[in-house]
Amino acid sequence: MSPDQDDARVLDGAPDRDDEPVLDDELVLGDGLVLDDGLVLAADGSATLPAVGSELVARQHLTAEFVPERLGGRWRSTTAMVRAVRPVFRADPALGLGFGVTSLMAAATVWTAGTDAQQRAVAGVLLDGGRVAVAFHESEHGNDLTANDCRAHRSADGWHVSGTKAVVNNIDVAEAVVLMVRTAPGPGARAHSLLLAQGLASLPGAVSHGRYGTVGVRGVRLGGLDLHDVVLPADACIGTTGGAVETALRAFQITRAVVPALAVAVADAALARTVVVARDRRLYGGRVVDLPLNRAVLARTWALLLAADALAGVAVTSLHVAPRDALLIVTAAKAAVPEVLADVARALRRVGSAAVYGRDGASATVEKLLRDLEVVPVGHAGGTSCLMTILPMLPSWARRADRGESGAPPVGRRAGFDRALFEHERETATPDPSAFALGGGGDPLVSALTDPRIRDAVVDGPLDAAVRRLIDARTALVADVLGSDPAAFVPTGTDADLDLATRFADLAVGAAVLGRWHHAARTEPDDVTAGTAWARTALTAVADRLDGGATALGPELGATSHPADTDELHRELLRRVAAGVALTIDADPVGAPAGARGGPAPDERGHHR
Amino acid sequence: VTAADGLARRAEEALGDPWGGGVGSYAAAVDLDRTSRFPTAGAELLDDLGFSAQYVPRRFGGDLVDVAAAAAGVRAVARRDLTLAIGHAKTFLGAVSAWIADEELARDVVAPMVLSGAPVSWGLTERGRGSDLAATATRAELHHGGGVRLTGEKWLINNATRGRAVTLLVRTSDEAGPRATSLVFCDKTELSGSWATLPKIATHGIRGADISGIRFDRAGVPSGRVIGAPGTGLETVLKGLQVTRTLCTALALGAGDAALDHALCFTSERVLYGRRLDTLPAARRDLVTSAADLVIAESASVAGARHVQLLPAELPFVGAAVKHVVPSFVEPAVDRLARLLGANALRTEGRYAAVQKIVRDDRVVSVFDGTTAVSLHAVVNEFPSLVRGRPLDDGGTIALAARLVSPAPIDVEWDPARQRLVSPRGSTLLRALPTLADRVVGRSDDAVEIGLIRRVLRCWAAVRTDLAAVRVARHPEPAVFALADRVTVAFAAAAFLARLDVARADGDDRLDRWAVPCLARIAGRLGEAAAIDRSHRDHAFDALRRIR
Repeated sequence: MSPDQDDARVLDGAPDRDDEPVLDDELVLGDGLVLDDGLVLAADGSATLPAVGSELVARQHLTAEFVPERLGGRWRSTTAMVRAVRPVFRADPALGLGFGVTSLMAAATVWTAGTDAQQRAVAGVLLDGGRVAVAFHESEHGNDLTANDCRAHRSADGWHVSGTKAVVNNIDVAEAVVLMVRTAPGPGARAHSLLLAQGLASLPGAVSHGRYGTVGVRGVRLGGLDLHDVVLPADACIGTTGGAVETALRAFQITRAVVPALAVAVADAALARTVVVARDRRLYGGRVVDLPLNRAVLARTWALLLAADALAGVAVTSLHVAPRDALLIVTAAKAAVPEVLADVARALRRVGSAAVYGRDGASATVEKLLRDLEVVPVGHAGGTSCLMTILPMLPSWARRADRGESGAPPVGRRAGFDRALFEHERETATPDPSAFALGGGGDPLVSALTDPRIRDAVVDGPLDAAVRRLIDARTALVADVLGSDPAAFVPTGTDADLDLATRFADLAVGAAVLGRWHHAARTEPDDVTAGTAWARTALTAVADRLDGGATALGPELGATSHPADTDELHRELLRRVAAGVALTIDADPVGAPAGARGGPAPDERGHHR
Repeated sequence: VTAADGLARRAEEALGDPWGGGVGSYAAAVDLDRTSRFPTAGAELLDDLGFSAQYVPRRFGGDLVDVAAAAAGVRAVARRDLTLAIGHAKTFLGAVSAWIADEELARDVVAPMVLSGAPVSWGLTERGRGSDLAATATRAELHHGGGVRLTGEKWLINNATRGRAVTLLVRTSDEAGPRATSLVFCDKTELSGSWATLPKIATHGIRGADISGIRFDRAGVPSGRVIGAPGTGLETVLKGLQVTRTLCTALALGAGDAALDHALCFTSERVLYGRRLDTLPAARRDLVTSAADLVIAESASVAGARHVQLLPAELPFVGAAVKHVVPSFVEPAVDRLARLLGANALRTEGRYAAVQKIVRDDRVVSVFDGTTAVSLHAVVNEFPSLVRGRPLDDGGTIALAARLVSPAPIDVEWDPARQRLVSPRGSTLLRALPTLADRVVGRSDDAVEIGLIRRVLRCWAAVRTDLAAVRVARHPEPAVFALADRVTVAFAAAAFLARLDVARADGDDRLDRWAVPCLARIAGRLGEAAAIDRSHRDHAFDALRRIR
């Protein structure tokens, strides 16, 4: 396979938007497996994207999922977007990142602040199956975007850009690039602007760095550009001059919600394949999947995966039903979901043990997925920068929560828990980024813990003990925030204890689990999330995390699991894997994972290109 | 904080500047790893250093006396390149069965071979049977003249191809039970008949290591190569693992050292939000927490190794306990340190390219010589013996505890004849935990430290109560594994307290500033979470900064 093949997008004409937006999951992950594990591993080994996968993405016009309906795309419900794209992430996260998620990040800035012409241009690129790169990152400054040095000034013939952008997905092959550039000296949030560039890499003065190698998502084409007085058109600026940070903070609320939901699908695929490997392998006279320790670990791991999915799902829906309150929810999701999934990954490595360590054979895919899983969330704002976004919002949250507890009447609807966060059917129009707030907002999610209707359903039931622990943790957090020096909650969080933000994110996981359980029990009583087994297991795990005692070993020694919960989850887990049903809350069909059907092992040379 | 030791220092000197470009540098290790090449130059450098003599007990002509010192040497190598350390130290694992069970073979054949620098491998596992060694299917027919005919396959074997010899666990009886297996020392240059090594297996970590296998089809081994009496194979392997598991912990520590080295370097160079990264509380917390985890792990590792010399009868518990508890502290620490580097931890090029390799390599350690489940199961098997052991507070015990963690080498030779398959009276160090705690409290004037020690003692009392009440099934329930985990953490706590006690008695204050961070981490793992307050954290950080 040549490295260039991932560029060979097979286009069978522009998408016909009058067609029903049918996504043929069979093509991606059906039992016939056009894109099977062998191809994915071979592509990973040679640091390319699987050509068949790129072709499938193109044929299904998946990039149209990221284009709002009003611009001719398929994006109306963000939950539907996630479900359409998840099959790609289950099969190959590198393909998922390579074809689209960074394109969504870039495009979101244009949907948020771009002119009509810019929006039409970017929509055109994506509807043609093209890519848009998001060139914010500079190696020297990491997540501290306001320190970036790449600069631009305007003159009569347009914008002149000079500087370096590094480790950016698709930067040297994308049809369009969104560039973050410094347009004023010094620190400050208004010193940077966004520029939209077409065919940036081929403009005079642009010099490619070549590819950067990574240990995960090896097929993703990370590149860099040195820009020496590159000239862009005068109308290239997205939004106002100096508006980059504000635009990004609005636009990235979309990806902060979507990326965790896609990462959950990667963990789903890894868990399903681990179950297959453990089911088909024998040790000490029985199936590995049935050893008591592994039963408990797998059951608890699945409950944690569902918990991550619950929060990711709430974040996605909040873009539609609670746009003014979304920032806190999506940022909590972006901070907490990767943490929970890291525990999932650690547990899966333990269950797979030595078998997962090999790069050949049935379980090689598990290790690849877990490796990719580490990168998927990092491609976006890292965990610490999310915590730093949460931190300054905590004092107002705590004051409100404190008032609620003292019995004062709630101020407006948004003061309390909003069950609409769990109602995907309310996602009837593409989210409007201009409705997103840049701070403040209410707390329609964590307030689930103390919502009277939910309390009534929980009291004296199997969830009561765990929920009480979370309510205590919430009370303690409120007290600790109110007891801290207010001056400590500056946006950079340099002097406040980030643990406060971590605890808030953990509470958001617990609240999402509780809310999802309550919603499912009323609307989908047969669903696994309507039962208490997953909810009790997940809520207990979150409470353990908040107590700080259970973090060192993660979930793999699920000592606090209830045996009956383990039985129920283990049974349903094996059933779903055998039936080819996703382990995510949507329970979409996925086709049986190809654990035992790993395809031919790639040769040694192929692995190390 | 390293055991002052000649071998480790000599290895450090020979391997040169880790940040340079020489044979022992991070860059060289990354380069080899990229193309899955074995670190041949590094292995030759260790051979020139006479490193292999550390694998041979003094009574067989080698240099091995203080096992903790040998472990420190392995740790120094592992810091540079885990592939090199694992590829070289595997010879000790290959030879250990002879040291334990066959004086004559050890002296006449194995010791000279190891001292000559030839790699010796250990062939235990087979395809599809993993850690279930009793299910070994490779057969050996014993002939009256003493020769052996081998048929079968050993798989996932480190150095199966590179090794001049492989010590094989083979089936010599069709009867079920523990006496059905034997060990055969198989020198490839003596083999007759049909045999072949299997292709190198591609792995995610220690990519350059020779993880392969060997297959026999009625291959002949000359007489005198069965190790010990026929039927004792599994017993010897179990005793060997007791020893090698303590050595394995040095590999994890080396990976932890390297991760800390990279994280300290990165956080001192990177400026974020207008400040150096290592001045941000979140980064500082992660650095101090991880370093404390390494100090705890190091304490357990050193004490574990010294049991080989001083308390070999307790190794059935201690070997498994340290094999579990050391990686259980180091692995999350390595992950945490790597995350401090953000996207740099994922890159395969550049100044920090070694980080992604360290993370991948380190994960293999918890699989080697018994996975988490296997190690904890072995600890569970010691529960009855642990319950029997009453607290010890006599002067002899305190003196023994001091020798278990002493920074100076201990001149007592390992005597395998004193090893047992079950510890008779639990763990001396665990039994001395309350006394060691009292002694540290008695010399402390730090209220935070004293409060944490009281917490740890409360946790230990709860563990003992649970131990007395627990019922263990053939396949233990997860709660039983979790209890075993707490027992191993308590062992690490006892080792750390013993070190603190010794250091303070000697007027050495270098460990003092780690007391609060380490005790807080230990309490957290035992179920009573405790944050490290800012002043103690910054105090410990100052010490870290001076290391670099």
